[in-house]
Amino acid sequence: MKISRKWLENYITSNKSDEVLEHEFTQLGLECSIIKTNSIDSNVVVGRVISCEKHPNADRLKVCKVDINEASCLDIVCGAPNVTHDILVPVAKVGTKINDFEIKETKIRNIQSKGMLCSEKELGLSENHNGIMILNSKLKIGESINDALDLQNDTIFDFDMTPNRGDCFSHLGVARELAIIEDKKIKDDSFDFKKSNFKSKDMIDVEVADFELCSRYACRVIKNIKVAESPKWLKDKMKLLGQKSINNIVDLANYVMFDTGQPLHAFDYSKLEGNKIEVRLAKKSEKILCLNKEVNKLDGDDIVIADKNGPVAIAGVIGGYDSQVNSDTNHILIESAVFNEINIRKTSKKYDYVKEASKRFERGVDYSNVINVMDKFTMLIVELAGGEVSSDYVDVNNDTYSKKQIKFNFENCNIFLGLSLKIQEYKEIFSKLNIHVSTEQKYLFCEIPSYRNDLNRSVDLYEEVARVYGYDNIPISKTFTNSYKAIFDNSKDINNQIRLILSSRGFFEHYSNSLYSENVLKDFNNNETPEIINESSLDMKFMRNSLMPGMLKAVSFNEKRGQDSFKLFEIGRVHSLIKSYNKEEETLGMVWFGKSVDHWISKFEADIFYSKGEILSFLNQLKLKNLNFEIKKSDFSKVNLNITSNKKTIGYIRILDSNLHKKYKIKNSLIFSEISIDKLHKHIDLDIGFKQISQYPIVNRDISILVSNEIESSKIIKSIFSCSDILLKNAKIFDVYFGKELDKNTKSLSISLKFQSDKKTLVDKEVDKRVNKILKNLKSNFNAIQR
Amino acid sequence: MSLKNKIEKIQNLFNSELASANIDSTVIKELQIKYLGRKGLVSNLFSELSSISADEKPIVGQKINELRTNIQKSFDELNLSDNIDKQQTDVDYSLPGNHFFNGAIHPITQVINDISNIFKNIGFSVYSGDEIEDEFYNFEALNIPKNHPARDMQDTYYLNFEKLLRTHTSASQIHFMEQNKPPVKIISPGRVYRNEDISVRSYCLFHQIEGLFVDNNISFADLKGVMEFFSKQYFGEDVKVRFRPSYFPFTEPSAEMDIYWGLETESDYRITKGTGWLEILGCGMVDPEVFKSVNYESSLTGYAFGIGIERIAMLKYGITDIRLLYEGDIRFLRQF
Repeated sequence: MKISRKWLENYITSNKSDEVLEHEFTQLGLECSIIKTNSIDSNVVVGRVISCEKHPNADRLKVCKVDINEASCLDIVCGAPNVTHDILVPVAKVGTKINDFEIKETKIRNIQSKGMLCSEKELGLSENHNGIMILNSKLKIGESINDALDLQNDTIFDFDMTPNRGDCFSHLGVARELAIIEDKKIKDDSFDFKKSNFKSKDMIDVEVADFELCSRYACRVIKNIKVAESPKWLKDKMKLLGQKSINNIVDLANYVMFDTGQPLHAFDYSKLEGNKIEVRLAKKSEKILCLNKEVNKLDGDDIVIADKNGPVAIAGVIGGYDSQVNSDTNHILIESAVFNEINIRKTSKKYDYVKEASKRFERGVDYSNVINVMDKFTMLIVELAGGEVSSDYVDVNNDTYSKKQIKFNFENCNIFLGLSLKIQEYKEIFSKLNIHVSTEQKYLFCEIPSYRNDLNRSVDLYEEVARVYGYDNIPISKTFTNSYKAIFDNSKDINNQIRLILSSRGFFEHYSNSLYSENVLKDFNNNETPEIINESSLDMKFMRNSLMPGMLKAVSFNEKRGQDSFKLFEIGRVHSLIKSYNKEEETLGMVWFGKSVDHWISKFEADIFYSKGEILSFLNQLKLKNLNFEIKKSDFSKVNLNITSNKKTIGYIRILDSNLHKKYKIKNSLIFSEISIDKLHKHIDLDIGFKQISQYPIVNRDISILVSNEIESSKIIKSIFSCSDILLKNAKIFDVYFGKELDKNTKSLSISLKFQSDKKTLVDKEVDKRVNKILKNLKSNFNAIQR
Repeated sequence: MSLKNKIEKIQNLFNSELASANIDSTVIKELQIKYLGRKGLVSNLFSELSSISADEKPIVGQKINELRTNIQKSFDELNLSDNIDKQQTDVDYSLPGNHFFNGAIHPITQVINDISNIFKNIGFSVYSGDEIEDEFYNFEALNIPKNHPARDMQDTYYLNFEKLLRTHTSASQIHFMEQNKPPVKIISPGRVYRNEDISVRSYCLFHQIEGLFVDNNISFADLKGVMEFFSKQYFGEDVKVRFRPSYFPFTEPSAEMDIYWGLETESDYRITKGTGWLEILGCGMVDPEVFKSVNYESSLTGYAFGIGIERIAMLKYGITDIRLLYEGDIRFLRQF
């Protein structure tokens, strides 16, 4: 919100610089920044044209000698038709910047020119460009135009006001805060205007349906006013505040609102039917044509001001078109009221009219100031538009209103803030805040000013004390307290362990968006997923049910940029919707991407065996037990292996299908895997019982068998173990061979077997017996032939 | 000459021949054939074995075996060192080492971990909340009733079935207090969402760390102490901090903490809006309404704070476009 420093001076003055005030406002809780409006370069000064002669080489140009109260006069070539001698004009000296254009010393048709005489348009003062600006002959020569014309040499503070401080949405409100900084009181405002002897009460009857909707409604009739264009000062104020100037009445209503924080409205009295207005909720299917020429259908949350024929304004939000004040208006009814914050908020949101008035009503206005403000408005109307003011005004209010009082224990406040202030210091702070205090032992009974709708509890006053005393003046405690009851075990968090392992294995960690379009949700699983109902784009309508869309997007992004081989991982939440119940699962995603690395000796190809090995090794490191990869048919990939631990599936590993290669525009080969960290957790076995290491030698035996191609080698290994006793320590496939000399449907597997006993050195006979048993078993189960 | 003597003689001969021989592969091969070949000296000894008495046979046989083993061992050792030597010559050692993939931990994780570790050191435990919330946890319980102007400060994504995507990690506070008796001393990092247009400065989601400490007689001075401690740990001992009043519905008083960033470069001017001060986090004393909503005693006090991770990461590493954090560009990730 914009606040003019000059305007503030109506209430209080300060000797502090803009920068100091900016800082002090901010430290008081009113964050702001400075905007300077002094837009005319200070090199533009008042000058007197001493002589003015025709340019020797140009008919339309003149050569002027201009006195600017410097050692010598300036020669300036000027083309304006109205330039003549003995006038005062604005002179832009060499070096002046006007609209990003710098004035330089130059020759115009062979005559030296040392500056420029300016039009109003060139100075940004008006659109007038018919000639140079002629100044009042009494101005001081050499003075800057800004000072000479008292142009808005002003500072605007742009406040980022927090929503609780409705009282600060005005110059008055900010002035009260400045008074805290300056430790002064603000000037009293008094409003004087002549009253005529007719009565508003005779001309208008006001009925408020419910004081919950409108706790106070005041209005007054002013007759025979002259609606006109606003004077320059008022237009300037509107411009300053970013408001369009409409006419003197409407502009004044805005002016007084920016001044006091109380929104006002003016109706054309003669357009109100029936000498009576009602403040009530809109009825179903009521309509109103608003000031912006839109027709709005109203509903039961909207407060309206209605005459005999229906709504004439949406209270606090926007006026009606038909009852607006325009050049035909003679008599007006001015309104100053307090409407319910929540209704105003709902209505302004619904119609998307978050305007200056509704913004203030939403944050609460000052109940006690309603009449004062109406008086100020009245006085200014009389000044600018004349008119006869009724001797009275209408004031319908909820007279149960009383001032708030808060019982405040200053010792508690000291403890709460870490202070040790005396009662007298509290009284001084409250006095700055216009809070009247009566004392009773350790309690202060604080009477809250009516404009502070935000102060209702002791703790609210603690904050007031803190900000007036200064947050930076509150001591800093240098000890930490800790109860062992507050500490709990975090050792189960393995995410960082996973990150360390994977990053040192060469994976980059990725963070991807969680929001995707429907079109990518069925690529990795069939889980329903939560849907956003107020999405900003259909591309971000659903919560991810897999990490893969984000990871594949990243792969594609990188491949396009020439990165042809890398590994990625991501840890994040994956969502699903099970019977309208949201489930979030912490998930690890991994991608192996690429065809080759340019290296003289190392080879890499995103290959599922590489990935399987990497996953196994890292899950072992996390102490997962009984790990297995099971080939499982999947609707989502031609090649899918389930990763299991203790026979429970914890994730999958897949080769990217060609359709997804196309969809994500990925060319090189890609393996990906997702593992549920929540599931993985259940299989971590940290009960490490040390086992004695055998003292006896290992006996190695290699066997080679021929089996049908279709037989999964993992089943062969499983079968070898299942027919063996504990002496078999390991069985590993070390060669797989297909060849011409073999049957087309046959493969040769070479398996190395390791036997070892914990109790003795094994003799050949014992090992032979076991190897034979294995071979026999393989023969009967898989028709395996020993080579 | 007895067989035993012959054995000894051959051993000595071998020793001297090996000692004087050039270690050259052809010489070694000749020696190998001479001693261990099919018709070599050792084989000859075996064939002579048949001429001695049955009593002596096993003893002498064993001696010949020992001889053979000794000679073989000498050759093995020679071959081994020969092989190693061979491997060590004729190689271009300037060739690069094997390829290993480089990896990195994401800057967001790094910032979360660095900050979490500071708070863990002073007794905060880590609690993770969910990303999908009820209105109650995200708003009402935090003293943000429906139609409260503070809801304007946060553009919320609403989901079907009356859920929403949490707009701040403060929602975790409520869950934790519902499930645990005081004292409470937690931090809660996580992902939060705002319905904002994606640009250089804003993204539809970001990460926060929430902190909450509730006990008896916790004061604003305690809050300032912990926040200052954090700043010194994270930004360095010399950091200058300031606190200024702010507004959050769930804390009273509320504060924002700035650190002095300086005004040395043009970018310093830009990011500090010419003030030199940079907003780092929001904090405050827990509002009594929040305690009410989790049925905590009204005599308790406490403080809460929230730190935006992306903001800190961008400051720390000088990242100017927030989208870089979510693109997964390897050339970006590689730098961390």
